[in-house]
Amino acid sequence: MTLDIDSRIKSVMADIFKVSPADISETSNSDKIENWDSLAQLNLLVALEAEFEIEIPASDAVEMLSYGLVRKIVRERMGG
Amino acid sequence: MLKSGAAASEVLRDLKQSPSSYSATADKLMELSPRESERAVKVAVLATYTADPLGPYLVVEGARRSLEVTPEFLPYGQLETQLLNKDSKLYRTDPDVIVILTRLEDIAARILEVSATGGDVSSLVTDLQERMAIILEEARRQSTAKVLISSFSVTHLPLAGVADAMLPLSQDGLVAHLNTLLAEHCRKMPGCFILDINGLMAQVGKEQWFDDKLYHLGRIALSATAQARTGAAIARLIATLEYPAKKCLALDADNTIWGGVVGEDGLGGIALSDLYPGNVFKAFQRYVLNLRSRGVILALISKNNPEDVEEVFDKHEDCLLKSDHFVAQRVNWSDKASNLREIADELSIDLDSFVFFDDNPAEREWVRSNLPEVSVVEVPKDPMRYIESLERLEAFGLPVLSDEDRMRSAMYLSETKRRKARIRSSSYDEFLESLEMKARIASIGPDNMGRVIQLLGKTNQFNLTTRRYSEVDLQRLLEEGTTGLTMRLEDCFGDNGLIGVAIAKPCIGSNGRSIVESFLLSCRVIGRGVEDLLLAVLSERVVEAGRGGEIKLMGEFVPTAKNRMVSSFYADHGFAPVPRQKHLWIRNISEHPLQRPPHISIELDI
Repeated sequence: MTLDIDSRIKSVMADIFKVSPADISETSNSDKIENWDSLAQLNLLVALEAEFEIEIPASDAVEMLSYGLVRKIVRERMGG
Repeated sequence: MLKSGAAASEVLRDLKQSPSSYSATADKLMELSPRESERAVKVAVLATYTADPLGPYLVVEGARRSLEVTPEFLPYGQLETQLLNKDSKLYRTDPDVIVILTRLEDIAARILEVSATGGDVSSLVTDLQERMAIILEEARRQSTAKVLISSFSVTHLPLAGVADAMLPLSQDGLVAHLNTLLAEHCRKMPGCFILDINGLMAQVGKEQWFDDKLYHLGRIALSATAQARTGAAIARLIATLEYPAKKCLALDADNTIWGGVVGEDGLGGIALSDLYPGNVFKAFQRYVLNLRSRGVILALISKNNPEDVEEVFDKHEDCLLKSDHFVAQRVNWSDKASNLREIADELSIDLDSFVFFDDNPAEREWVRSNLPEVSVVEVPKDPMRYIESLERLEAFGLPVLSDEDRMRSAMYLSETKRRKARIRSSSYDEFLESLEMKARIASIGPDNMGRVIQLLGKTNQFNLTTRRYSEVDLQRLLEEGTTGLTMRLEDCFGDNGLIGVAIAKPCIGSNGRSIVESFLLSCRVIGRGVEDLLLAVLSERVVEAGRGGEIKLMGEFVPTAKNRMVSSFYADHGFAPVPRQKHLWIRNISEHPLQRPPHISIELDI
């Protein structure tokens, strides 16, 4: 189940940042992914909220600047 | 061509209703560019807020409507900066469509504040109107792009709270007032259309429209839902402007306009009443009649005994549709594709202008495979969803309704009566005489411009050059000493409306020569000599406009898949072929004027 969530996160990030899911790894962050700018950050927010039917507060939305943080915040919101 | 079209539809098949899926699908579609079966449209978006997240929705919703949209987002809050400066980035990208998105909070917050305290907003309203007028006029002057401007809207709930409804002007009242003024202005601006964001917002609901987080983090004034709906609305309006509307709705009878099978259940047994389930079919009939009043013509294609169907129309008290509402009927046992083809011939309407609506999947499949150009509605099993399925097709949208649109059904019906009269008249000449035709020929001007553009845009068969013009193109053309004529035709059966357009312009540098740029006639009046009249009057006008001496008129025939019927038009009217020019014809009209046909009386209003 956990794995399933992770691969869904990767797939959403890949769609938004226009990369392949395989390019998203533990070390991926906004400095390393070219299309990860402030606008894409908000597109990611909208896409994650829709994908997991969760609400991510603004304070978290501005924090999630790496794959690790995205995963942490999404999991928290899903109550995991 | 087929390949890229097929690839695009395959990509669209995998689309899911999620933001990430739209994003991925848009990327895949852009990789397929150029997509040859789609019309390419460069769309520049200027907004008072960050509108960039609309991008994927514009690309995907465009592709669903056969548009290859390339969106370009200008920095937000730069309406004047971009629109009033002819060297701006906006004009440098040379867009086909300029979309202007506003929120009253961004452009006229003061009006909202004053109005919420019951203050007088009239001078503020005038200021806003002037500001918008300047923006639109400048856009019109600098660019030939179509301009889509959002209706005014307010995202937040009324400032005055519960007192809002008691104000001299409630927030909604104010918005409605401003939008009426905006529409008034846009109607006068060629190529300018309102994108009704305010209406869309009401449909979706204000609370769903706005997402505080997106606004405060990134000045995005659209929630995820609002992004999707706005993108689709823009694509829909562009498609309505780019592609002609369908003309004819061909309906089945049993289980379509009433429930049950009249041949088995009998007049009293079919479902059509004010109670469930009959009320569902009655509501569908009402919807169909509303389409008809907006200019869609109706045809009936039913496998039935004609007497049974006729009995329902004549005697069933809850049947709103009557025999006369259908300009063509085929109630028989032959296959529906052949029936459709016959009706298309009878009405002189191309098959690609038909929408076929039948509850029977086998009939739909048969029509789909035999007549791929016909739009076949995927009719849902539940009759309560019939209306929605037709709406979803977006087939009958017109950007602006004209009087002709509203009269169209009556016009086609009298055409059917005319055909019957012709069969009775002993000779064709007598028939033409008996029609008592009256033509009114006028110059193209502001009064008829809209209808002229429409005719130029959708006439395929009797059209010598099939040139399409935007209002802006046409106005430019008319400024160059061009003769532009329209023809209306009345006869004993009624008014046919505006049915002919002819445009001739002087050839540059060639003394005394003019060329016919466009010459077309609406199909329902072909074969009555009106084309002879229009060509004769056009050449008279060209001679009068000339500076004396020898005046020659050149005619051009640009062949298309659909206009073969006029291939010999100029030869038939005594024009000589121009040597070594395959599709050009010429006639000395000062020395050999064309004759007006005797059986049509004329009123010139030039």
